Amino acid sequence: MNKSMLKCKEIVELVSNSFETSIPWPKRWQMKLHLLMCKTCDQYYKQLLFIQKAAAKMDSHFKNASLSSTACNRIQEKIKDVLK
Amino acid sequence: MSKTHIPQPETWLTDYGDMFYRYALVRVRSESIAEDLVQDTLLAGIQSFENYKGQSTVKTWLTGILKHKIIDHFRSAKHQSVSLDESELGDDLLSYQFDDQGNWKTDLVEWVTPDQSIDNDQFWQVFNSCIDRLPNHLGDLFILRTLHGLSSDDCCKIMGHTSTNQLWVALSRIRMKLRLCLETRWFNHE
Repeated sequence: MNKSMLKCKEIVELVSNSFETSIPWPKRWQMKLHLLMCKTCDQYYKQLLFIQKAAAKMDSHFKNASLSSTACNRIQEKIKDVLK
Repeated sequence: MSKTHIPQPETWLTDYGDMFYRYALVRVRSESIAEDLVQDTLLAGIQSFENYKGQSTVKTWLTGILKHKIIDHFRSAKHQSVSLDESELGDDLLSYQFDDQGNWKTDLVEWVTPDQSIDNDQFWQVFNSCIDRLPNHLGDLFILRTLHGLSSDDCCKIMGHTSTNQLWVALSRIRMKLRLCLETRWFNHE
């Protein structure tokens, strides 16, 4: 068996780790080669890349959220107390 | 500096309240906790205004305080000594997707126009609910690492992981679960 061939199950770990750290080159090379040859792992990589990108944009989803008037009043009272 | 010299803290709530609330809400995913964090941040800002050096804007300075408060929240008791049990590590998830040889059981299909989803409010509802469906500390870990940009070392300390390796395994399982959830509930959903 060719030791340089990583299983898809190992590739998914490497793909995730590649978002966390710089994978050392032999492993990185094996991963890239695998992604070139394996459509499903390549899809996995692309879909995780999308999830990373989406997560970084989560702030934009909450652009319409605002403090309730109850919370505003409560906080303003506290601020007044502290400033007294 | 005496309190009377603080410039306009009574307008901070109006000026920054909603912005800070949104910032906190997306991270802690609880309205009441996000409200408390805004309050704590503004009060801490007033009480420690002598530490403000004027090197950045008040907004930036207060945002720094808020970021610390958010980390403190995640560090709080509920995350202490949390360990990943086997089910959360996702052995079931692996055997669901991979055969005994480590090959995919089913080929993945390309997602249709994922980039357009980012502009879709309904997509974000699904995305958030997928994060909420993760076991509690795993969702928090994903937010801290990916959105909040906390370092691996700090994530380990806060989330109680004993090694970076363990952290990476957890993050890999989180991504695997999120991918499956998005595929089922958004991309393959009619």
